[in-house]
Amino acid sequence: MTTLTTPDRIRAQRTPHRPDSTRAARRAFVAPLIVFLALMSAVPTIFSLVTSLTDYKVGADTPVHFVGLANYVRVVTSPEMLATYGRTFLVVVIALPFELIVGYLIAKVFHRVHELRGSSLIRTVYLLPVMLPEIVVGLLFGYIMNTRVGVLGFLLSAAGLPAPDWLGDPRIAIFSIMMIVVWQWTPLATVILYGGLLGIPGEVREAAALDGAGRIRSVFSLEVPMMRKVIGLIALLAGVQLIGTFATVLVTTQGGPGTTTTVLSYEIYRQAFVFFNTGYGSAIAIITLVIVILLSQLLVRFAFKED
Amino acid sequence: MAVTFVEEVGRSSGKHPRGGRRLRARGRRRLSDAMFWLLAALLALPSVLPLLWLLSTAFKNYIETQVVPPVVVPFSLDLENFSSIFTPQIMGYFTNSVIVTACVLVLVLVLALPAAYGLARLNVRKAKDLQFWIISLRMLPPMAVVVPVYMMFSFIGLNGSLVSIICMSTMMNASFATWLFSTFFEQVPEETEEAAQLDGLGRFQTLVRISIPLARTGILTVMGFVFVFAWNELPFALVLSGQLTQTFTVFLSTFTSTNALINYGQMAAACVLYITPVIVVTALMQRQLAAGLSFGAVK
Amino acid sequence: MAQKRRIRRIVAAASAAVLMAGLSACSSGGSGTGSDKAPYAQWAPTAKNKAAFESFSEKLKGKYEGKTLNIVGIKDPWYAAALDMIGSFEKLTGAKVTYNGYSYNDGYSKEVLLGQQKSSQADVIMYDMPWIGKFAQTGFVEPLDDRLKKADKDLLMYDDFYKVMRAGAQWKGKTLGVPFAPYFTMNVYNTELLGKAGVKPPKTMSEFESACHAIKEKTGVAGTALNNQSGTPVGQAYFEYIYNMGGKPFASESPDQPGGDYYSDMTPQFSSPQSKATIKMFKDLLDCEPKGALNIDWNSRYSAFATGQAAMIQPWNYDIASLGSSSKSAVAGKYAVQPDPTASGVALNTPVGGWEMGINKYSGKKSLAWDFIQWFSSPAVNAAFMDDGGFAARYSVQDNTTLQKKYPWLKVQAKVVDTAFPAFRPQVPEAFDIMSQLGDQIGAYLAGQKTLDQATSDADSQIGSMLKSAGYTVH
Repeated sequence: MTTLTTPDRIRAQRTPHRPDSTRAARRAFVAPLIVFLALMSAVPTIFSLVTSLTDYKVGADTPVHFVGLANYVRVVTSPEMLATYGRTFLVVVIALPFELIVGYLIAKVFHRVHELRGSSLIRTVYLLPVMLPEIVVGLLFGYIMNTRVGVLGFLLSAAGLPAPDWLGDPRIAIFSIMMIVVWQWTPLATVILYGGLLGIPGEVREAAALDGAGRIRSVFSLEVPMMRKVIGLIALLAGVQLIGTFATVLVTTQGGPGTTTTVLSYEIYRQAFVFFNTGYGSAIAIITLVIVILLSQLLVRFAFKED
Repeated sequence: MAVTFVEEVGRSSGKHPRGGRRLRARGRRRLSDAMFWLLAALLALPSVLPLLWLLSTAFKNYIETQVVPPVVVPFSLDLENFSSIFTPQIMGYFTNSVIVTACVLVLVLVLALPAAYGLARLNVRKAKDLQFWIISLRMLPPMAVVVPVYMMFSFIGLNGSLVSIICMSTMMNASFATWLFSTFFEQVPEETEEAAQLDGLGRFQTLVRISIPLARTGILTVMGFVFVFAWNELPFALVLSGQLTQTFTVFLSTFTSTNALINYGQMAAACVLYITPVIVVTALMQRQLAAGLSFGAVK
Repeated sequence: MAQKRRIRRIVAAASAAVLMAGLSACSSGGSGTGSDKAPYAQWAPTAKNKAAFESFSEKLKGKYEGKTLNIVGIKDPWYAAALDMIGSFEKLTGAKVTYNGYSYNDGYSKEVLLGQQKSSQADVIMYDMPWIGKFAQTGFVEPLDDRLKKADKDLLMYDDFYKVMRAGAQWKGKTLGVPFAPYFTMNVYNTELLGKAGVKPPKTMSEFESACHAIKEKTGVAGTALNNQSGTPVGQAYFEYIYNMGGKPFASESPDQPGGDYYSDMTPQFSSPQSKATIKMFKDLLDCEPKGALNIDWNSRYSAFATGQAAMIQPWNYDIASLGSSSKSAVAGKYAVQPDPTASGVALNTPVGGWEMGINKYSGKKSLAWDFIQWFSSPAVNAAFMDDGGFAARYSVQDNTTLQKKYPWLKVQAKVVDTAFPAFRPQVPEAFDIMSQLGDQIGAYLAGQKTLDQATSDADSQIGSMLKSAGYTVH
């Protein structure tokens, strides 16, 4: 399989001037998309930057004032807001490694049986959660994990195990949210890692085995380096998914108990579209966008850099 | 060999060397095969059990959804939940979802296919930076994006229309699709394209007659994902939809806890209805999905 | 291999098709309504009103053929009943009516956004009483005073609407809506469980508290279920109890305020002894509430009581309406209703809320909207609505003996209606923010993130400074 950045290599081999690669052709092919994406990303950002410097409230006829950086100052000095950023960070640093490690272990099992009859059906069924709307997953688990009438607690107590108050206990509610997210997205990591494992040629494995690499060692000396890009890709996709967690919280806990499950996307929604603190909401959104762009660029440069 | 997204042209297919290994210790191997197969099946169980619970709930009446111990198989087979979903109004939400998804699919094809081809083949300056920028748009959290976007659409008076939802969903999906499409086009052997051009085909005809057909498996798989993403989208639709343009996911969000009485049976029926097309698409994509998704990131 | 795949695809597609076809087969249409001439006319309270309603219906017949009316509102339990009434209106007038119901928070958000967009996509706007200030400020709900003045007095019978609802529809001297689904809370108790525990239905708050603990102790069943969920649910719960606990939320917001000037001094009183006692009571009761108590909201409060998992609640009347139906309740015939308990020596102040219908200023179909509102809120339709799972918004409906016999709790409602205080939750534009922020603070206290003193003083300072910057007097 080719890599992400093959165009460079191909281009290097190519004669520099080809009659049909004129500027006009390039424009006709590439420009519509670029223009569309630029319009949809740059223009809103300008609107939002301007709004974030004001005390504008959507839906109010009160006069709008320029307030400078006050909204940004409010974001970085509000303990509640900092806690919200911290909580979202916690979700990422716990759920992401979990998805990677568990996803990897399951991928190994799938790889072990990949030539057997029926295994492709098993993998497809296993992947189903990834294909579901987040809102459906949230509604379903809100019901299953309901402490009073949910089937999960019932099964646990029937088995003589303690049934925690999944979504109502302030100490564990955020972990329950993570459980739901992890249930939905670990299969994606698995299937990508599985693709990666298939991509390691048998000869390379055999060579490593001949070199006397043990099972554990071959994971770190062979598989991890060879799948660097795959792991980077999962980190990127899963990280984005985790930072964007919204519907799950909206339909299960509404950010509670207390504020223990108020994550970033949910807080942005509340500030901007429930309280209509549009200026403040814009400031949170801009800060979030800057953080996410920096992180994803770092990850992209690190994971996809050429050897 | 990961999934082949591009049809092989004049290449030997790299099948796994089988056979020899099989002969050795066949019996022991079989036993351990069976155990691992069972383990794999068990690992897939958590994915499907909650969905079976959803299906069972869809046929329960309100009391059956609220009692302890829970009713496992609702023998009453209450169809009331489904009939309460099939009203013209709720089907209107469903239609809105269909319209949005169909438009997004068409727009993504129209915008992303040529662009991906251009980035892969047409010496675009700084193609790599452009690709990074394009894919980074997919990385932004939708809720953070929608605040600025709401301001913009509100300024040009497009809020509350399906157009605004379609635009945003297209943006997210076109960036993702362009990135993958260009990795597919790169795998189309250049000689094949050059031969076509020597035969007098222009760039556009080469794309349509040679490159797209050769990459069609990959393109279809990506479009399968675009379908799923567009169909499942909530944050944009929640904020940008108006009174007449609610999509079905927005309707599903009305079953939240700030609702005075949630009829879980009806909620489950609505969910079952809405995820049926997704499950059909998944079944159609089974071969590609089961082969592992490496999105071109495997060496 | 390829063939197998094809077969699999066909099977998948076919089973989906069968499922869809099966589903659509069971969608039955239509709702029965009595007379075709003037549906519901039999419910009219007086001969004069009946004549006016019949001639109004006659005028409406086929009048709006081909027109569409859009309503934006809430999906509360009376949603189905409202849809039934709407079906009759469609048959009568030929209009097509769409009614989009949202959940509470999203409904508020959507309506404010519609107003901000000056959208003509909604014609009739349903709103909860505390939202009125925000909507008046946004200016997208049209004042109805002129229309009310010109309307047929015999048909409208405006004074027949509950006094508190008429007052609640007014903002700065203008009438912005017509009531149709007023909410009041009442105390509902499970007679079996109370009997088993040997406790009497409580009259005072302290009796209520000790009854809850006694029930839990003696029967093992939760004594009560309160709206403890963070944000709006517990924020609203505070307002539902504070007056009956003898306190008030803001310095001037009380029924005793001279001149009805309820918002002249908005200094928060969340740290007052009564406020603290109310909030502490929420925490003390957690022990005798069902599992998952911190996540209880309107929905689970009802479900807990309706399935016999909680013995006593103070719900809005829409829940009481559902309790009698065997499809929504397992305690039908095993419960009784009485007025809310109050702290000893405190006069009853029944929490009131509920829905009014207004007209979107930017609507292109205002006369259709106004005809709909008049029709829907008329005494006859209101009675039919009540009988179908909705509410009495009028004295004539509440006093209807047929309905009172069928729905015994209506007599209790009749007793408490005039103890309600229209501004019991502030109706100012900041109302929603106040309740959510207060609810976050109380939620943090219940979850153990903050102490009582911290939570109440944080609520005082946060909400105080928000109100101050919005231009209110705050000391």
